[in-house]
Amino acid sequence: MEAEKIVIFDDVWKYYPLYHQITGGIKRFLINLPAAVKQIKESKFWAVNGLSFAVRKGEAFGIMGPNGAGKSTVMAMIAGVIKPSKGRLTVCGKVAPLLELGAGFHFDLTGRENAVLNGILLGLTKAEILAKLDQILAFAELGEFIDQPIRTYSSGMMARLGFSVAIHTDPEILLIDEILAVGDENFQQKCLIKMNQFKESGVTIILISHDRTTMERFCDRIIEIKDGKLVTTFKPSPIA
Amino acid sequence: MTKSSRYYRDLIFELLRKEIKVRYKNNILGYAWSILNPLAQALVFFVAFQYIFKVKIENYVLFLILGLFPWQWFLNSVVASSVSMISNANLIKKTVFPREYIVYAGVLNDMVHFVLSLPVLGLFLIIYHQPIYFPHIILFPVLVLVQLFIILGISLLVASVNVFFRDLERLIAILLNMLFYATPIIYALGMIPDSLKFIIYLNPLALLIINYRDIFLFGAVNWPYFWLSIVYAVGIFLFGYVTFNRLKPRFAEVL
Repeated sequence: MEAEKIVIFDDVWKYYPLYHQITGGIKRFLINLPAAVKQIKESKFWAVNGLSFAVRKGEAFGIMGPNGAGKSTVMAMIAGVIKPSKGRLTVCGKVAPLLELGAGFHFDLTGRENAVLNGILLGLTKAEILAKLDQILAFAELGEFIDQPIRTYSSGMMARLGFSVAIHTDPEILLIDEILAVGDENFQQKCLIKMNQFKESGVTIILISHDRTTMERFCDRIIEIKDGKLVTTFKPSPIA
Repeated sequence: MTKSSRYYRDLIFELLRKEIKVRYKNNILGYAWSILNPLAQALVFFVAFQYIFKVKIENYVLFLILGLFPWQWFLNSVVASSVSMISNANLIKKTVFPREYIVYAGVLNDMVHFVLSLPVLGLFLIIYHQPIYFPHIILFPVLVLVQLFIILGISLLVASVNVFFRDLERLIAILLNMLFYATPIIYALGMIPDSLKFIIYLNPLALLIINYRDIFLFGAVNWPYFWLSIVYAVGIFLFGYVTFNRLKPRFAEVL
């Protein structure tokens, strides 16, 4: 029996107005006012063009494609920070994005303080995050650095803390964006083990990357997209 | 309390705590430094206007402080808010937490700081043998609240518009500079020629500062200015709030 669908893209389209005309500045905008208004109305960049696919509960699902293929737009739509322009997108369940290295961290605060803040930014109440704080800090393996400001951390330590907070927010869908490249071999192994545990407990993991090896090592199913369109869907051959 | 209202309370509280911690963490002098800035300004204006221009204003240092402290709050909040979305871009592009809370926390942080600077004001009241006028003093917290909403409105506006027009920051710097001199901070209301008096009515900050002074220096309240500043606060806050929420869904596309 196949598991229920938890993320459904049904002919989803997304365009961006070409904002560079206005992000170029007020001066340019006002000087070219008629042209600029017209351009904003007319010029559209279609990042996602009629994409349809579904992710099932408990799946490790990979989205692959070259730069500019629309991977990040797809992720942003799943995370709910960007709305589709056309088509229907259904996401059932609590999504936790894995943030870029150090995003939402403040370098003058300690690891412990940052973990609390990050957990709240990811949607937990303070009581919830405090209840899990010991687990989070233990998983991040920061030792005595827990109470040091994180400007003293290596990038690996920061990645561990960020990963640890994200996975402890009880996500139903975990979004991972090229993050596994950070941290040492040992920690990557630990993340993979944790992610496998997640999979078994029914958490859905959606991964984007252009690195085929990582993807095939971990994903149950991979789609490849190019210019915002689906190219292929395949199951990587299981590694012996 | 429902889970979501508890969440918003935690969010604002933790963001504010972060701001305050970061401000005062690395140096014990953090507090002194930020008081020192308006005080140094007050000293410069004191020397320039009292001794060089020979302006006749009584208790001039106290007079200056009553304008400079509220101005400093306004200035810091608006400048910081204008870049607040851009500097949190990687958070905004990935997570759905309500972005306006970044602005709220920043403005509240400056408000806490403003309140913490009140002992300095108290000190100067003592130095100048100024009595505390009662019941006028009761209006002081109300004025602070009015100022809070004016600042929140402008901050929400500049934070959201600056995402789309990145050079707004520069324009803001110029406008703030002009606003400083258009506000009776270094001069008194009575010194403005009649032909320019209308500027006061267009400037909610001027209305506030005149009342801060009336309360502490003269034991009086300028009621028309007081009510007008409340009207401004409501209007500006609503305008900023609506603009921010209209533009908010597109932040992640542009950042």
